[in-house]
Amino acid sequence: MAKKKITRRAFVKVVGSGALVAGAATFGVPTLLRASSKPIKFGQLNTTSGIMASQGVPGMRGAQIAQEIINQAGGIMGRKLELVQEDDQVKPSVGVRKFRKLVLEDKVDFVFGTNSSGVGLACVPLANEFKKIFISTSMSDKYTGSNCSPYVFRIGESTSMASKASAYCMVANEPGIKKWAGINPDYVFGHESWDFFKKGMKEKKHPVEIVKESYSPFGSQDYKPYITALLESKAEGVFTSLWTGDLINFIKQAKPFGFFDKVKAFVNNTTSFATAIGLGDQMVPFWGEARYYPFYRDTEINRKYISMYRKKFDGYPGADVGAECFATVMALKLAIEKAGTTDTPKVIAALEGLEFEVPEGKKWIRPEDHSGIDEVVLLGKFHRDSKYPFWVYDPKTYFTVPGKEIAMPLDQTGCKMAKP
Amino acid sequence: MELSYLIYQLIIGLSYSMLLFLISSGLTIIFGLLNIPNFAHGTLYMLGAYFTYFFLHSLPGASFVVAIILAVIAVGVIGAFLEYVPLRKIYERSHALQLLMTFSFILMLDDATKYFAGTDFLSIATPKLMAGSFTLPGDREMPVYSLFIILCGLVVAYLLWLGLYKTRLGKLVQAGTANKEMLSALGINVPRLFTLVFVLGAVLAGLAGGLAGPLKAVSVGMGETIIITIFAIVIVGGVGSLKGAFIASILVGELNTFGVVFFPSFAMAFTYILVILVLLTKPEGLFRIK
Repeated sequence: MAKKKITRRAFVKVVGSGALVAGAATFGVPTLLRASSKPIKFGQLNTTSGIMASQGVPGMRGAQIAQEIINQAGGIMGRKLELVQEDDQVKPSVGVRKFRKLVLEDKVDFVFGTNSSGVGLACVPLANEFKKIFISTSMSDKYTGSNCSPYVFRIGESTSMASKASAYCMVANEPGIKKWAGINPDYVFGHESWDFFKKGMKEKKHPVEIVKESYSPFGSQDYKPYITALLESKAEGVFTSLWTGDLINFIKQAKPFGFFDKVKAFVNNTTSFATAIGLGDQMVPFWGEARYYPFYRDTEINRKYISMYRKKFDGYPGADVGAECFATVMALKLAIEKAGTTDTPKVIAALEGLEFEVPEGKKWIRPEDHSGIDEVVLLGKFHRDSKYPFWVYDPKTYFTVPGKEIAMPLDQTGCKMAKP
Repeated sequence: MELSYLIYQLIIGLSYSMLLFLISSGLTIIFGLLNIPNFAHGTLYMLGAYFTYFFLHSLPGASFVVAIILAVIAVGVIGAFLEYVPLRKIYERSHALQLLMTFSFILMLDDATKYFAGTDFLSIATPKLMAGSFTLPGDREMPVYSLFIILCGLVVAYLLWLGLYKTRLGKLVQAGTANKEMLSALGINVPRLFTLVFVLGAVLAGLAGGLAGPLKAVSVGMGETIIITIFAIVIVGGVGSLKGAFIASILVGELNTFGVVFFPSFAMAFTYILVILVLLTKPEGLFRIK
């Protein structure tokens, strides 16, 4: 039996061609694959320093949880999702600078975020300039009204929805109260909130006497003069859109004045639940609204969100902006998959009319003005519950308004949508 | 508007003034003697609040007063470190550089606080004894805790006055504020005096932070939100002047209160109008140390 001798030459031939094939495998073919498996980049702006860090950090966390869920399930169309998160310091000038950085240096595909409409609205012209999709997680109606643009979305509740729902809730639950007063932060959100609250009262044809309108600077140190002036006005009901730190400071300083005994109803249209967690056992019974309230819905996605949040970050997802950022990342993912591309005009088209479910419930993006519309807007009155280390809504007081009912009618938004 | 309402607002305003004085007194003494615009003074105030919360919740049975005392000591130690290690090296440099360094303290201390305490709001309860209020005629409430703050402010003002005008150390501080070179020429250990004064300022800021705890959400950044007002007070009062800080604190606190009562939409502006007026007419402040 003649042994087949492998000559050196043949060996080199075989191995060489093998290497060539292998080389092609590593350097040639996968180059194409690698191009399409480049991560998809989302840029995020929220406030992680200073007094609003308690709102921005949960926003970052909400997005990180969505990212983890998406990447564990194989990413978006096989591509990994990468988040580039930037601190806007709750300053419009910084927000604008970071927006530019995200687009020009990090080359992100989409931008979302902001805690304050002051910052977010300042970013709208950049979204138009760069032709980048920008999804706001702050609440102004202007994103989908006078400032509306093909590139701009606001998929969470708006100021008008939250404020009018607060008014509806008061008409239903405290119909005897006629004398109303307001204490609101002195910038666009506070003024809009108070105006929409009064409008909500008017829509329900509720006779209202406004006895005091006050606006306090954002981050006020001393609320005592506002508190005494409100008490002096003999208001029976007080509406506020102060949020988080400001609201906690107001409540802490108002309590010793017997404010919450003298005023029959106190209602807040934003971040109520984060306030309850911040105040712990020093909370007071007031009516609150929040874009996301963890214990209202027992859905699979909500349970998953809460458990992942608690496991990763050791605490409850109290700040509603966390769920809002989660929802935003999910909406973008679904839209990219629906469009089959990250191409901006196609993703815009896919976002328009998108229906999806997130921890805060089912959402629909109205195509005409890019406003997100929730299944319901929810309010409740806080009470002590021994199950939790903080106050929660009394389930008996849940008050809901369907999102489609409270969304601003299209002829009133003032939005004239241009073509992308 | 009735007189009783005005007096009522005056007292309410005074409780804010005294909190401002507790913070600004420390800053003005430091600025006066060490000639350092310590931007991180508000951050020491924040640390006072955090340490008070920490001691209140980590030591079983610790009362509010005990927690504040421990917090004040802790902030004092941090103050000593800041003065002894980095600040000492830049006394002769420009204000711009000093400002930059104290600004970096803010960033570092804020981040350290975030690392150890997280970003969630913390809330210190008003001590039970002081949680109530007195009911005044006209169904108006005067919170006991507001009166307590006023008392603390007055006591601290008196003690500082005693210390500054009736002790040798105080006279050295005064002398140093007016003329540093002369003091060291006389053989006084000026660096040690500087450390002592910086620690005293830190302690006052820490005390104010602890006392503000029941009135505020304890949070990272609470120092930055108050430091501008505090600098305004120091400038209006005259850098280094304790009396100036006291009077200016009352002016700013009451202007803010009555601004809100009478002209709510301009309330913020009054403090700064005061600053402009003082800078135009008495650029060295109301009570200049000569």
